[in-house]
Amino acid sequence: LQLAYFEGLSASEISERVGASVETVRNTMQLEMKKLRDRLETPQQ
Amino acid sequence: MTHEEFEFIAALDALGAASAEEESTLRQHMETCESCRRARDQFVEASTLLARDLDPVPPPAEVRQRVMGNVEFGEITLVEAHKRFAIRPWWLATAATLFLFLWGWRELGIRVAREKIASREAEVNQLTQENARLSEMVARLNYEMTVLAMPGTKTFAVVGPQNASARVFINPQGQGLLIVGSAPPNIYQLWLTRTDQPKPQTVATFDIAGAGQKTIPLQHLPSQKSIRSFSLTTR
Repeated sequence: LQLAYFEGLSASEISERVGASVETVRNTMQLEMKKLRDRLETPQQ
Repeated sequence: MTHEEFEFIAALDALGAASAEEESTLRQHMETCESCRRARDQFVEASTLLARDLDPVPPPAEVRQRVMGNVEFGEITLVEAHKRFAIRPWWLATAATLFLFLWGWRELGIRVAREKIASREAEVNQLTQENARLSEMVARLNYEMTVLAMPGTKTFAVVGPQNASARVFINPQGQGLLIVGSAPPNIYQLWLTRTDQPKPQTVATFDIAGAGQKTIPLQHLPSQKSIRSFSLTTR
């Protein structure tokens, strides 16, 4: 997420950087964004 | 494409990782889909947590020095601007003096205009009175000309007090005119003696002042043939 958000890399560029497939990068991004959204909706303890 | 698939793209779009085609498709879909638009907004808001979780990084010394230099320069500029444009008491005094001068000049102008108007009005009144006096004089001269210039006008010498000289002019229509050439200032009475009546009758009473000259119109006189004489006495 940091590579995409702060460095502006695309999914394919991230996949090259981390050595994973594009689909894996996209799925991971989506999954982590959902987690972030859940954190936003759930009050922190 | 299902809502879940659009939501998937929305998560990537919030990170700027969606492809151009995916982004375009999502924008088009969000125009009509409230839930996907809300999901996208939630992902954008969630992405800000990424920045919040980062540890603060101090800026390089060079950047800090440049920023602080700009701030100081800005302060100096502000102070200079304040000095340049601040309202000082002498500015206020000058503005007040200028205002008073302009106000006084305006009042003076108004007063002069009013005096001019009053002067014009007085002039108009004077000319109106003069016009009335001249109209009266014209009417009197017309009457005198009517009496004196009409064919058949007869002249009577008036017997009067010592040093008084006067004549009466009567035209055939019974219009008369008494012209006193010289008479001492006094109140006079003009008498008419008719051929058919022994006692004289009063025709006019008038006063004479100053140079002793006067012209008096006489109305409703008897016919020339019935007049014997005129006489003038003082009262």
